[in-house]
Amino acid sequence: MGLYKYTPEPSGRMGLLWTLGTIDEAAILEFGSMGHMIYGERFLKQTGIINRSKLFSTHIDEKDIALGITKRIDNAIAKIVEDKKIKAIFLLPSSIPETIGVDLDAICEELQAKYKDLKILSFRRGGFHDKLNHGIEEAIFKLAKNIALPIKKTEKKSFNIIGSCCDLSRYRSDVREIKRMLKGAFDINPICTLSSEASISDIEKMGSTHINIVIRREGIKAGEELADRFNTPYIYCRPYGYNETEKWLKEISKIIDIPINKEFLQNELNEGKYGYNYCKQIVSFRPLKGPITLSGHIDVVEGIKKFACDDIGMKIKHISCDSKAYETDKIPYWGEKEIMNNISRDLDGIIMAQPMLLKRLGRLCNTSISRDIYSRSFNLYESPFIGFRGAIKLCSMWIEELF
Amino acid sequence: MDKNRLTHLNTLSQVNNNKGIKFLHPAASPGSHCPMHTTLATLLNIKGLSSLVVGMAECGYYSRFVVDYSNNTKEECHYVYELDSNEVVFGCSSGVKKAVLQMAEEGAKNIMIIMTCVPGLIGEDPQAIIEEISYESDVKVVFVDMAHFKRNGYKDGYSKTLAALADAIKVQKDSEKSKKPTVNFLGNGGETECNRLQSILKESEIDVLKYGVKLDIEELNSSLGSQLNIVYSNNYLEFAEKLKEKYEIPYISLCDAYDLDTVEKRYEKIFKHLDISGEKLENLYTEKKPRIEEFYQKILSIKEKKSFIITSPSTLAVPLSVSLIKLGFKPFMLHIEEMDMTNLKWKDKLLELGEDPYVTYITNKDKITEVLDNEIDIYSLGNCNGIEEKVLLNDQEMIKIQNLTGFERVLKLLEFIDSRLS
Repeated sequence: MGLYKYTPEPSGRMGLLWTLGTIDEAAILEFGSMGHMIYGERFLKQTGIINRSKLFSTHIDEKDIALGITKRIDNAIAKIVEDKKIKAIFLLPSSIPETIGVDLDAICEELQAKYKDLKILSFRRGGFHDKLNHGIEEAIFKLAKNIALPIKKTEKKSFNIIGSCCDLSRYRSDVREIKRMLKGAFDINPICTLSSEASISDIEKMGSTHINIVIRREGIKAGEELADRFNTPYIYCRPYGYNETEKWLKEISKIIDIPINKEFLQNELNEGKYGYNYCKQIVSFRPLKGPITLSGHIDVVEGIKKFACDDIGMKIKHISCDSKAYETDKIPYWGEKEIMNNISRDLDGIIMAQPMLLKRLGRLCNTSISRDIYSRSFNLYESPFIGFRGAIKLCSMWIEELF
Repeated sequence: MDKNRLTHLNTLSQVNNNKGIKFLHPAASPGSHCPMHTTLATLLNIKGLSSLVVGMAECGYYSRFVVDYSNNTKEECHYVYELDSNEVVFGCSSGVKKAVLQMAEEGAKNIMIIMTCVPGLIGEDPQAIIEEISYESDVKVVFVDMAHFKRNGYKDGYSKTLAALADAIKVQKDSEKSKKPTVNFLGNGGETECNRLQSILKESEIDVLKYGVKLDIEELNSSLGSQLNIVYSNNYLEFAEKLKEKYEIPYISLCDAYDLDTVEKRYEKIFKHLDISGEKLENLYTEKKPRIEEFYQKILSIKEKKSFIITSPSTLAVPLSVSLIKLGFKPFMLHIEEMDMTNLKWKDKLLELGEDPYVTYITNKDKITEVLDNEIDIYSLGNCNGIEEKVLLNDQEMIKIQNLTGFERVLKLLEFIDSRLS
């Protein structure tokens, strides 16, 4: 029984919208009832991103459904293409066409033949089985496969970031930290951050880089596609904490064949040394206050767990991921029911989870690791959780929670 | 005015229901809310009513934009039932029934099932589910069909939600009924004139029960003891209609009265029904009527009248247009959310006046003039980008007008128009 009181699980269609919705120079057209798009717009507005896709909806009525009429799509596209800034249109499935079986791929092919100067893409992960992660994976993959153009490598070494999406908290801060670290360690520049800071023009140039930095597993497929097409190697890791970040930089160094700027590395490690040692000390003094509960995206909870437990010495109280597809023996999938049964207001220790859960428990949302409709921070300039500065932030935050 | 750009629209004479209302723009960007949204917004103001949204992940997830986690209390709980792929094919009645029973166990006494697009599309029968539940539990269950593809806008979310409550009302025992005659005021009609009418009724030993935005489902039971429903808000019209059908309580509407003549006639009808002397009508308009008449003369004397469009969803476009035609204006295009019973009732009156405006649903409010014409010479009631100087009443003022009643509303409307024209 799919009964929810607090947070129903987002669908594949929502994953597609949230991923594609942050891309500039593009339009998204949904064939279906228009109520969904206005909520989508609100969700995307709450991300704080200004330059993003323009959202359109055809709406649909009983006659369209009964007779399978799709003329609204043609009419809408004819209007959308009048905006010359738009270089790609994404045709999004919605629940009604999914139910009645409208073939959006065929419609997309017809439209592509008509509008040759534009890229028009349709998507398949909008079915009733598909969940958020499926939608995100397909969106990232299709962009890399269909939009990236054959291109020469940049003269100076460069990189793409793949998998920065607005369903995770601090997603903009995290990529800012990655860019800062790669600039400091190797003096290399980014070309495209897929999808949170990308435009269609940026995605077209993705083949020109020397490495792809994949920061969540939904991006691996795109990383492999780019490796095949452009012979660009990729590294998949979401580095949390000092040890993991240093290890990650060393691997990147090997791949791009540039030594790490030792001075940069040493400064970064020195900068966080006091907070790191202090946090370790507090955790050892106050073990009862220090268990940590993590619930969210598998890469995030796995990465934070490694830093919190292996490096700092915290104990795990509960750990769960938000996708059935990614659950492991050690990190099970927890839906609303399991979360409600296990995580209550009187739970000891630190909780890093989705905002809805934190709110319900009467806690502040500054420890949230994913975004949902309760994410009301429009601040794109928060401290990251990833990398060296992320480690400083986590240690400081944990120390404050432990006192 | 170049009408070629609007050939995709129907005119009022061609529109008999929502299906005839075409979008002004071919692509809604991003569109307008679905009626599930307004249903939830309405029922959150009703004490003692729980909700169950039945639909797909999108409906369920985004419905939590409206229903906050804090809305779940001891008396009220708000759930989502998400259909899986099997239920899309074979139906979800068994799951919905279980969900309702679980909510009843949790303490919910009155539950509204909100059916969204996919359950509406697969032909799920909520009435049958409710009947099955009635054999197993005392919980009172009503439903609303809020499939968005059955209409353009969201207004049904207000009116059909309140109308559904008519099915949840319990008939009172004689001992519970008020000894005095009572009248229900349905909807908020502004303070001053509403209060004056209440005083007049009180003088005649008639009690007034007010039902506004905030409601208590238990208190609603008292509404059945009334002699008359006075409808101030269009959102309550279907509710009043149901009470008339089921319990033979008549109603008189003030929500669609925008001109002096209509207002006077409606009040006279109310007084006659309640057997109150017509002389008391004067207490309602006092200083207002001469001012209204003065404004009428002033506006009617302006020779160069222009066409107008209505872009705001707040007022009832057809009756408002009739009142403006009487002032010498010509309706060109009306944004109509729903071709509801009020707009339909006024349709013939408007056509009889020799006008037949375009009827449309505006989704992209910032791009209205783009579709209309380059050389726009038209007034707008409601915001309209690009012709701000031609806006007779902006969106906020349209809301203000709708929230007033009777003479007060007419006077305010004329004041706004006069101030813009001067």
